[in-house]
Amino acid sequence: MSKAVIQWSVVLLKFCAVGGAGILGFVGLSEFVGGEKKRVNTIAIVIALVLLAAAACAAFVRLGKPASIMSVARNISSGTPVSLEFLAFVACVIVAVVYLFVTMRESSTKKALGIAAMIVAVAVGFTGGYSHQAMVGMTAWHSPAVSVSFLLSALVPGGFIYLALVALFGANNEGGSEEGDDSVDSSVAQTVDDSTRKMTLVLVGLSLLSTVALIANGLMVPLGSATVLYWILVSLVGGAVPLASAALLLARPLLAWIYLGAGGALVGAFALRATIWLALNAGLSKTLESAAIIIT
Amino acid sequence: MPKRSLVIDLDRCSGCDSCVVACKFENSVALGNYWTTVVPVKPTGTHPDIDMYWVPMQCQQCENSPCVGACPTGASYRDSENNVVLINKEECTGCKSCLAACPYSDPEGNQKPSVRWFNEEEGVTEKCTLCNHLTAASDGVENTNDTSDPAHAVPPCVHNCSCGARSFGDLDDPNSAASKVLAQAETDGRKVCIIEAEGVMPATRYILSEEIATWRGLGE
Ligand code: SF4
Ligand code: SF4
Ligand code: SF4
Repeated sequence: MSKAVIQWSVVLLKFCAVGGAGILGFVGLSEFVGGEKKRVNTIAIVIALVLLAAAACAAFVRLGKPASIMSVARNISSGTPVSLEFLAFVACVIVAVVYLFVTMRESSTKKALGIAAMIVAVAVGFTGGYSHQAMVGMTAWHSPAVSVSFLLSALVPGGFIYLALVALFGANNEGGSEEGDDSVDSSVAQTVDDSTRKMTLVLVGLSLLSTVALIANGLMVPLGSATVLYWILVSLVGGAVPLASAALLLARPLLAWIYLGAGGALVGAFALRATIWLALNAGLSKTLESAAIIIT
Repeated sequence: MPKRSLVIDLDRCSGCDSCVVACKFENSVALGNYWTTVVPVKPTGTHPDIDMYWVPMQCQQCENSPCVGACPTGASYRDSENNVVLINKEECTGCKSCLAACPYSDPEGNQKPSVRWFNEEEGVTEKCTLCNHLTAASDGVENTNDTSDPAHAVPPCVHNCSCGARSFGDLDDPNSAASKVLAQAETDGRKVCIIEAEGVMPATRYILSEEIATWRGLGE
């Protein structure tokens, strides 16, 4: 039975890309929930850009030589699943850079940019999975559950990281949190204003959808040797833990829940993108076995 | 849109591997790699009612060609003139995405069964080209007086098939050798089969008579 060798540069590329895109998506969302967010949004976009730059570095490592980068650039308009992924990534970087400049210059609400940020976040998350889904040779990749899981698992860590930044650098917490400030009566609790609460509600919804998608993906695709790792690291740590954290955060605003949720979501997002490679050994023979067709 | 392909008569194929050798020789295929292989579909039944056949496997020239969609650089592409799925080795980064995308290939391209193969020395992926360097403008009806006649050239695997099992041509051109063989098979009531996988719509056709064996694709 054939098996692929895990390509770590691809895992890192997709992980960093969705990390950056997810944060940017929540910056976009913040334009619609009110509250003063200039400082925190500036920091969030810088972090998103650092992650996107790390993703670009991983892509360069994967491609190996400058000529190949030019080939990828030339191929970007081909409309193939992988070119859509690159297109979404480039769009995300452009939106992030523009967003950063505008945010640094003015404090007013930037709804158009907010919408653009949410669109590119969804696009990067989805196309990262869709380029796997399009690989029909891999039984474990060729399922819409893969694209949906990739999308949702991109947005959840972004949400938690954004909320952490709000807690640490938000308008109600200009001085930043002090050490040991993770109790409900600390300055962190003050940050749970109305706008943050709305974002937490969105995060609860996304975490719920993400958990369902990750479980569905685990049930739908043949995970092979990745089964145990998937259920522990992806569904449990990456799905249930962030969901519980988001729900707890809504009930009792502790910084600890944000850290727990962010940690779980990040581990889950990385593990999803890594374990998918281990799940390949179901592949070739099975595909061919059921495919004998008589046409006349 | 031309649909150039091989048509292989499994009633005739004896599993001799002449096509494998001819292909390797023509295309300098790397040691350990095979752009075409002959897969034995193991016998079922009891003697003397044995049911077995051989399936020569090479790039199936899929109409949906997922390998092209997976390639980040455009190295996997369709010839703009005659629509054949090809690889431009100059543009190939060796990322192996196409190996993952092709349902007939090993994901590392280094073990059978696989139609795409990874050339370790050059760091690129390779596969059957339908010998487009010889056959790009050919109708597949071989000119035996001049086998290099570009209007009628055939791939070496076709020319050297010891049992005359292989034909080549555009399935959308009724005058191509491949179309004529298919038309005759249908007239004779023999089965025309494909090895479909995940909706890729392979263009390669296999002919098999029920008297010889029951079509089971590549078997178990
Ligand atoms: S058989 Fe594989 S390599 Fe050939 S066209 Fe189909 S997907 Fe591409
Ligand atoms: S290995 Fe080469 S042909 Fe295959 S997808 Fe990568 S760049 Fe394209
Ligand atoms: S058509 Fe050419 S490349 Fe393809 S199997 Fe035959 S000899 Fe090999």
